[in-house]
Amino acid sequence: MTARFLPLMLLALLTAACEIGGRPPGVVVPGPLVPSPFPTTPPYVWDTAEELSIWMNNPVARGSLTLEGSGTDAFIRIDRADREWLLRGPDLEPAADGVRTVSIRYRWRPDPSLPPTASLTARVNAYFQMMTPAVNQDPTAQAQVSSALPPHDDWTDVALLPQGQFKPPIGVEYCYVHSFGANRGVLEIDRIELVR
Amino acid sequence: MKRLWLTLAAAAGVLAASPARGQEVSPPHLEIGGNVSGIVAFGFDDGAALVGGGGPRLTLNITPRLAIDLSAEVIGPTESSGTTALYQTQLELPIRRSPDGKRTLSFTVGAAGTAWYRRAPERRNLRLDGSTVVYPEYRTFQVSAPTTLAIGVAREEVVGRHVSTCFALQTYLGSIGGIAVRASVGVSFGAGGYR
Repeated sequence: MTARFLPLMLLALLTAACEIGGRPPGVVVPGPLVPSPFPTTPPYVWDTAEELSIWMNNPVARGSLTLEGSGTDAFIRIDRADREWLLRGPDLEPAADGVRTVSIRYRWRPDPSLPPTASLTARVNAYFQMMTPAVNQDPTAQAQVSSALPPHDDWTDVALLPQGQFKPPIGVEYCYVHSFGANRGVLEIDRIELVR
Repeated sequence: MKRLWLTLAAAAGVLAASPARGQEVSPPHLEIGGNVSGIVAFGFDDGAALVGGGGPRLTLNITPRLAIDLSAEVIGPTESSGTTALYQTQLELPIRRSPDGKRTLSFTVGAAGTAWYRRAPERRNLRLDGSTVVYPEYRTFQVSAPTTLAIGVAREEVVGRHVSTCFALQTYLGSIGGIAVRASVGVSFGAGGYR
């Protein structure tokens, strides 16, 4: 009897493998809220002084940010583009569906005293807080788009490029634009748009 | 304190007492002990790796010609962030025994696998937007299938009425280091003594 079951027991033992416990998913504790005081016209485009001020006058925004001009000619001026800065958009209620990326209209003038070998591009990232996880394996991941802005003396529109594993279009609860800093220079942002 | 020392000395005396002379020694059905070992694995691209280990051992003497040996050892250093253990189950088949039965040379064959335990503390990632991602504390325990073949020899010697020592040399073939050699020494305590 024992001899009959011994091969079965041995086979069961050889194929045995198990796992107990495991890494539980992360939990997001929300940061400061940024209410949207009025809907933009057209939707999801921030161009006027009042609209752009939402992005820079909130508890999350930081950096050497100033608002210049008025009406649709207004723009956000970042004097110290060599330092970290962040612009936090308003909470979108309801969330914006079908967003593919964010586009900014900018001027970027590196400091003329920079050495010829210095990098003249400014890396700008934008992150989306999404309704559904950006990455299946990590429900806390935010979608990211990014581009290196070449210098421009005139207003130039650029749509930031998707990074990582997320697949547009996505539903966006809020967006923020960020840079860890470039070389010395002045970066100005005239318009921010969620591209759908 | 003095009483504790006396108790320990008495226990050591009982364990170290020799079996009766002129009588063939046979092992008890159950032996409990421990091993320390060194393993050299050759299955790595950057050369051989050496790990050490230690842990408990249990031997079941089914018949005078067959024993089952179970052991588990915590091994290290490893690249893993948790605690890695090696477990092994093997058959011991005596091939030579001294006339008094105190020394036995056995052929061993069995299977080995690994186990892994990790306890990760809570981790918090502060994001640029002021939100925080909290990854809760967790514990995980994984056991791999014993897919490594272990073949070798073991030499056991009864050194007291309740104590035996063991030296074993084995070759591992399989997922644990590809080809590896394991040398171990251990002490076992026979339940009921060696008679």
